[in-house]
Amino acid sequence: MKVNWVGIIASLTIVLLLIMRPEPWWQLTAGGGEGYAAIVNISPLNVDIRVLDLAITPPLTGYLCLAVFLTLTAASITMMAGSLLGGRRFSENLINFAYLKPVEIVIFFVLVLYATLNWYIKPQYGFGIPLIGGGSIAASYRYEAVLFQLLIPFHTSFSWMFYIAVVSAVLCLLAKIYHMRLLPE
Amino acid sequence: MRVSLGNMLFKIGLFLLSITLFVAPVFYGLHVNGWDLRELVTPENDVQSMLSTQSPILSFSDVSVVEFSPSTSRFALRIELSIINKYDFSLTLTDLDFDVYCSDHNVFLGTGGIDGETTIDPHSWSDFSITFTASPWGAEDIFSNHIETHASPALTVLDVLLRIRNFELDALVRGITINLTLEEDRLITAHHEVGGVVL
Repeated sequence: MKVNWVGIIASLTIVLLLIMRPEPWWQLTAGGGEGYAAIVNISPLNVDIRVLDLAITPPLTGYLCLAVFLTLTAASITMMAGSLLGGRRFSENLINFAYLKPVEIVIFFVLVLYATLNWYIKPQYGFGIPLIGGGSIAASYRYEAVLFQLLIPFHTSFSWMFYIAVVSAVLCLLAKIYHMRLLPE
Repeated sequence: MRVSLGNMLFKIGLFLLSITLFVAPVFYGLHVNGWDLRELVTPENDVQSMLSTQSPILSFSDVSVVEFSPSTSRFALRIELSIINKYDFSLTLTDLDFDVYCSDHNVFLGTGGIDGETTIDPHSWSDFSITFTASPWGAEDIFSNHIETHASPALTVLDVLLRIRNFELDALVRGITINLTLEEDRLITAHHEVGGVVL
């Protein structure tokens, strides 16, 4: 029986992404000292936004993350099944179902993040946040004749989990290419 | 032909599974939130409201005269200021200053403030005694316009309504620099009586 070893490894990397679900792919931290003033942990599988220990994550993100979780779970199972049954004709359908999911999720994640930072936050709040880097945000608000002006230092970065997701997506693409060689003429 | 049909049905099944896995949780979320999309995208907590309602409270509690000498034109006050930290985290005061004016004559008396850092614990307060010495022209306004002398019984009475302007406070909260400015002036009364006629 032909086995798609690349597909099996790709499937296992997807499992790793699912197990490490709470780990962020991208993080923004603001402030510092005795604790961050704001912390934004984002991945397609989990979104956690906290400002001064107050969770401000919209409920919708939880359901979208659940959708991604279920999709990746299905992709992992079908990638594994398709890889173990490498010589069978219908295994191609299983691989086709699975291989693009991690690729789409990684690309979509970066695009949505970039769009949110540049086309929503920048015009809406007047400050830019880079995908990777740091800076300071100046913000102000009034309350009962008191003007509060804030200077918030921040730092953003992709985490090692994001790079595992990229590796997983590349392995899925390689698994598809390798699988085509396993199929009977 | 039969194999091909089975293959096609298998493909359609997988495609429908793809759609269902993504759409079902979102529809479930909408169902749980009463099909209200606004509720689904609105966070439960409001940071703006939390920041506003938990803003530090400043109050000038008392003022007392510590130096009163018309002969040397020296006039000094001790202003008691309380700062209440309503946040759940400590607040480090790094700078505080304000201008003091005579409210009746709009004469600038001088500048008061605090030097050095002071940390106020969460849900706690700190009292500050700020000694303020009037400038020579400020002291002149005080001694010229705000002193009454009574012959019997011999008494010198000082009454001045002070206007606190340009109050600014710098603080650090978890690495964030906060500059707080009072946009409205605060009024405090300084009253002082000295037995006899002070010259």
